[in-house]
Amino acid sequence: MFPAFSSIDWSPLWLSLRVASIATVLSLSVGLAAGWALTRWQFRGKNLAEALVTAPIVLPPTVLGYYLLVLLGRSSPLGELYEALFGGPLVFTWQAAVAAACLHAIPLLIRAARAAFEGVSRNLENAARSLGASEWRVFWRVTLPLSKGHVAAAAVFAFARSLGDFGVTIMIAGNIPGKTQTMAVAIYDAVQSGQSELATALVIVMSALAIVVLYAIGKAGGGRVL
Amino acid sequence: MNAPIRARIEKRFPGGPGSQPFHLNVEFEAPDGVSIFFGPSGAGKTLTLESLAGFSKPDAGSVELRDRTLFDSKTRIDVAARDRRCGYLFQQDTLFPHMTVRENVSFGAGNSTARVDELLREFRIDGLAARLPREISGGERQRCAIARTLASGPEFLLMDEPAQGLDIVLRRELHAVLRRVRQQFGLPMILVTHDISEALSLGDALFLFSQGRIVQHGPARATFEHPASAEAARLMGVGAVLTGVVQESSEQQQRTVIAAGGLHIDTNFLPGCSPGDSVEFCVHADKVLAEPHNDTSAPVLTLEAADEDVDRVHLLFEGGLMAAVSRTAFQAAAGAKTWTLKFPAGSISLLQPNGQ
Repeated sequence: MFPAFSSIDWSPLWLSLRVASIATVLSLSVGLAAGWALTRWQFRGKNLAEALVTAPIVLPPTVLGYYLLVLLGRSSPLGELYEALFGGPLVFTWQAAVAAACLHAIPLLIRAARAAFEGVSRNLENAARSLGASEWRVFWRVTLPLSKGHVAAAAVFAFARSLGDFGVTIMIAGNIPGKTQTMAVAIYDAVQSGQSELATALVIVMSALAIVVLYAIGKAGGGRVL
Repeated sequence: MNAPIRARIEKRFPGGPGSQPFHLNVEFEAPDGVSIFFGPSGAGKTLTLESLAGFSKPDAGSVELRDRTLFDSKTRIDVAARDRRCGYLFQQDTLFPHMTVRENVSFGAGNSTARVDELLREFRIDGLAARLPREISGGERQRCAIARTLASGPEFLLMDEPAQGLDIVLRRELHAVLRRVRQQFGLPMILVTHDISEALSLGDALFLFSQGRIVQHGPARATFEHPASAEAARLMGVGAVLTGVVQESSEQQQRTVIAAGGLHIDTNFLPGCSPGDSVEFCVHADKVLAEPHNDTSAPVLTLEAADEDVDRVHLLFEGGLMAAVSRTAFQAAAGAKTWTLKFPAGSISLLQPNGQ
């Protein structure tokens, strides 16, 4: 028998949704800017930059988690800066889970944004420039509206990817119920502690969410995401 | 007075797998009115236009518009495309597909709603203002693109084969619109085209491009009628280019005779040549008089091919000579295989070997 839905602690679901939402917004800003730069600018080391931003897609989560721990740990310059600014360490907080989610979402969005921007005719952008538009206006009025379907689909995909992150999250945010325990971690925890009914219920909810997200991707980008 | 557009543009492309190296090196002064950039594909016309507009940065040179320097490699001036005030009409349709006709025309017009309204009326697209570009016809899209360009208040207008891909009706409509723009707005215009009829119909000046160079320039009609070299004659499709020896040349009798490949070409006096000179010359296809063989005083040639146009038939004879006759005259000839050719004044241009 499944436990009654009302008796389940849904805090991992809400936390996952919050983490994924914030990570998607942050990643969208970084992904669009980096995607634009990589598409339109020619600079030395561009190939290396592309390899670096794409690497998180192929690296094992434990490797990524380790990098984040080194980069954002209490003894790292960034970790110390964070602690000085916000009065506490970043690791083992829900904000660390956001950082973990961003690490997955940003490369996806950069790749998708690049593909989308490359699909916009340079002549349309040049036409806007010849009409007096600044680069900023060209981007917001021409490039982005013409690639919004693909970018939106990629954002939903990045949201889904953030929702389901496990490896990096558990390494940098840990598994603190009610504080840093996301859905993916909660399912792992339920299985480990023998609560198979709880695990099943959480899995069903995650699966339903995934289907909704895939449907949204299909609607936004006509199925052409990455 | 200085020409409104003055430019010297140099740009090199080293080439690579699948592409040849290319060197653009042009210098010109485009006068008021419509200047035509004419030449084959890959001659550097569009690249020159893009350099004027600021879409492409030359390796060296300068671009000046009236008293403004838009680019100068020596002083490192490079005005951004958005600040050049250069209207640009592209080969492809570049109306913003997600904006209505009004939004397109307003894009570069700032807050000048009255100006937008005026242009919408002027180009007869005011009734379509709320429609998207995909909901209007090709001719309406062209008018909208021109209105949009003019709404931004350009100081000169660059057009990269705007008639490319249009059917004959839309092409004529576009030509009419461009003539009106020239009259009403008085902007210096540069038009890139492959079509010599379009070049002569719209152009005041003509710049002939070949392999990254301007090989000849001058008033459009005069440039076409007096190609400076065999290359220029071939590029403009003026007619056959032949070599021969001058047999007679008398200013008094107003007569010159040239022997070329067994043919005696008898025409009006051509200054600059004397009997015995070897000359290269161009025979203007549209000025040669061709008739079915009935006059033994003129050279008789065998017809090799006939290419029918809308109202004319282009005849190709043995030895490469060409002529054009009306469809009526061709039909009246009833399939004649031998024709006589006459060479009235203006049908022969002597060419300088070095194109000077």
